[in-house]
Amino acid sequence: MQPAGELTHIPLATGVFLHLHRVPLYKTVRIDICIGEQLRQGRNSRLALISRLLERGTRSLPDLQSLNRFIDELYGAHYYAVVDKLGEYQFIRLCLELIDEKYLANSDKGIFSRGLLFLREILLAPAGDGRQFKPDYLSQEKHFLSRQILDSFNDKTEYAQQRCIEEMCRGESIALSAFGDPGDFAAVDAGQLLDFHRGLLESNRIDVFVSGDFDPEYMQATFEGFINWERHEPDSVVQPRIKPFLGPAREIFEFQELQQAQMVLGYRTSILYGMEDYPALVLLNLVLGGDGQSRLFKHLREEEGLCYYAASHVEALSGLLFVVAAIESATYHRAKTIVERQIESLRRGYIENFEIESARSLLQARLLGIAEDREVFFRFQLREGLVGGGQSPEKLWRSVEQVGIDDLVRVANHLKADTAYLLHGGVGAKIAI
Amino acid sequence: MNKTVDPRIGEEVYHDRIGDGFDLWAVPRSLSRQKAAVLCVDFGSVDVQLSALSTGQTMDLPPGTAHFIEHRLFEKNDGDISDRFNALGGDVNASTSFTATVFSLTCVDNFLANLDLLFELVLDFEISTVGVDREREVIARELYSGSDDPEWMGFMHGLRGLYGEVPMALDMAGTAETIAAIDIDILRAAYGAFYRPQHMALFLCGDFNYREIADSVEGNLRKYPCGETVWERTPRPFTFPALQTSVGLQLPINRPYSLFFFAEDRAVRTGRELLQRELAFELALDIAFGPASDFFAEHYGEGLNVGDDFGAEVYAEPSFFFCALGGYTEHGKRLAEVVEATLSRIEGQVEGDFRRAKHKAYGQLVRSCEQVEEIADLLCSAVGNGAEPWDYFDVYEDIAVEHVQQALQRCLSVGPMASVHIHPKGLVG
Repeated sequence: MQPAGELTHIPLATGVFLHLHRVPLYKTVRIDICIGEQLRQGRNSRLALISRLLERGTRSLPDLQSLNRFIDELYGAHYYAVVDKLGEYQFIRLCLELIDEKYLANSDKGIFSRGLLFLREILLAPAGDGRQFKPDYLSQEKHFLSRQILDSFNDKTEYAQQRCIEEMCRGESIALSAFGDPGDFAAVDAGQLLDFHRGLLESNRIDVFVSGDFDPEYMQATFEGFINWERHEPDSVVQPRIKPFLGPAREIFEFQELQQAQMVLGYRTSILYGMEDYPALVLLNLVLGGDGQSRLFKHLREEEGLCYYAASHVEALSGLLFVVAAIESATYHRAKTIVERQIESLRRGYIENFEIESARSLLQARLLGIAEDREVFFRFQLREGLVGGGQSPEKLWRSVEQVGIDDLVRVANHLKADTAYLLHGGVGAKIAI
Repeated sequence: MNKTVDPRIGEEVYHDRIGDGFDLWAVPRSLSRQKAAVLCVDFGSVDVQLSALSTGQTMDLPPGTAHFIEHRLFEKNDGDISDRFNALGGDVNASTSFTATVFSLTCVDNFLANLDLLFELVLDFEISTVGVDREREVIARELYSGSDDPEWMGFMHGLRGLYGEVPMALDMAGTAETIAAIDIDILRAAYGAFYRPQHMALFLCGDFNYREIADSVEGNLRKYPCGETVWERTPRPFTFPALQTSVGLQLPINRPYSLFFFAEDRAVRTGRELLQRELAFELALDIAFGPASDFFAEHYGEGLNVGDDFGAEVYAEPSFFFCALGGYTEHGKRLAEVVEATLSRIEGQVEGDFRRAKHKAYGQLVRSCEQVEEIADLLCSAVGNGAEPWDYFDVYEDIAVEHVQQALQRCLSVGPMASVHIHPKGLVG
């Protein structure tokens, strides 16, 4: 089998890590810079606002038009800044993708170094007078970010998922949104926010990921002077914790005018990424409701025709598992009973050998293919960096290879139903609450 | 066997026509672990008619038939065939568009065995009345999820405004009424007419021995000879815009959403000419409304208060050509005026902004052929448009200012032909 590319991890400065991934397949070089911390109320809103302001301009490219023109002129480079979360870790991510200079005429070379200078300027000299972010940009971005948060209302699947986590994990960091809370925005001032941003640059964890077809030594040298400001040791970043199931199981119903109801069932798994049982949990999830031919797909969609979509997924850094299905509200109890019955049968060990092997083959293909999917590999690596693992997908696969039916049964017995959430459009009586 | 190498992108492509016109296109990539295959059947949601081979008499297919068959093909006598792909480490998926049914596969190992399954999936058609009834329920649910998505609803209503009551203006899956009319006989007749080697092509990318692959394709085509059919497909006409309407509707969303549609009303184009026209429209729209445009500078967060969801997309195939432009704004009516005004005076700016827009387009093109799946998709869309895979690069090199100006003069500056304004309703957040 082909090598999955060449990985090099280099500490760049205190709390700053450079991760180089050389993959000869790529025609572009991509740089992702992640600045993050444990999700915290109030601070999460500021990180979110900063992510938007880092797309608005720099001192030498002071507005959207000049910034976008600059990026387009770099041969259709692609630049964006977003805020995101991985478990309880919230991060600002700057992403710049540049065409590999091999595919450009000689006269157009040099875009990589121009791109790097641009990223430094974005971080160190965002648009403004050096004392504050541009106040009019800040107020526009407060407006857009509030809007974006409201818009999540339009994606019913995502909305239902977020609401279930909120209800299930009240008071936990994981329940906080990476986009912040619009209620915090009014109090954010452009000068304080720039100070806050500088504080992030000085003392938050920073990960720089570079992937493409390059010479790692050359790339390492290129980044040597990238962090030339003073750095402090970051707070210990994120401590994945298991919240025990305190019971009792709850049911939450919410009404919206909808054609189709969204059911989200939340379980606590007691298993975190990096723990010995994690590979078994991943495999179990695939048997239950990973896409393709899972139990949920078979029983909810094929046998009962209750839904078009049914799946389960694991929140690796929080010890949670969710089952998600779009159903008709009148069939809620039936659908939920079927899911519970399936989980119960897994607990009792009614698992066919072909189910395990089929899930295992699929997982093998996915894990071994990850390194060629930038987006998925990015998240994989970030997660590894956070738990201090440095584990490769190959190594995770080797653990999955060893998982036996006893392991699956043990893991299934750890699943505790916590919160069942239904977003429905039917009249209350129809779901017989 | 035909082999061409494109030096610009450093890839080689193999092409064979096998048996009765089955096209095989392959780009080998020895460094890649992942392998991708896309099997494309030239049967989409706009194909709603068959004609009898003997008499020429026509039979109408209910809209949604192509999609219904796509779903049904997964169900074999021994259960859903995805199980067997998964057991081989294969991820399989399918989708139906206006003009094609596409089955796609990705895997790391067992490529030949997975390919065999892909042929079995598509060419071995088993069907039962019970299965058809169950499928109808599943598809009805799929339609419901679309109707809760305001952007999708806006898009479909816009197409209705643009084209009138034609299959192009219906969800690819049909409607509750049309799927009720689909039965086992209709499915058999449509399958027999469309699922034939001359209407199919396979696109591959990954590490494989091309000769071995070509042999395996031949073997599979021999293994599943297609049965006799009394029906054949009728030619797919170009869909001309019919109406000029503005549609208003209410949906449970929290902010108004507006979309404007422009359509080409000239006859069919295919091959490079089509790709060139598509690129010309993309450049024109980028110059007029893209993130680097004067429009965007003036109205982002101010003026019409559009956000970064505002944008335009061109939909170009030999049988239709339109573009949609819009996003969320509280000022839909005023946006309509500004869009028209912008398009009417943008021509003068094309020359000055052409280089930037072209660079951007080149970057997007290179970025769209990195992963094996992307290459397979790129091959599929090029061939589907009657072009050769690397024509995209030629078209990029040849595009000129006047092509963009023509797109503006002939179509865009004439004004939108349909518009949709969606207003919030009901219980909102």
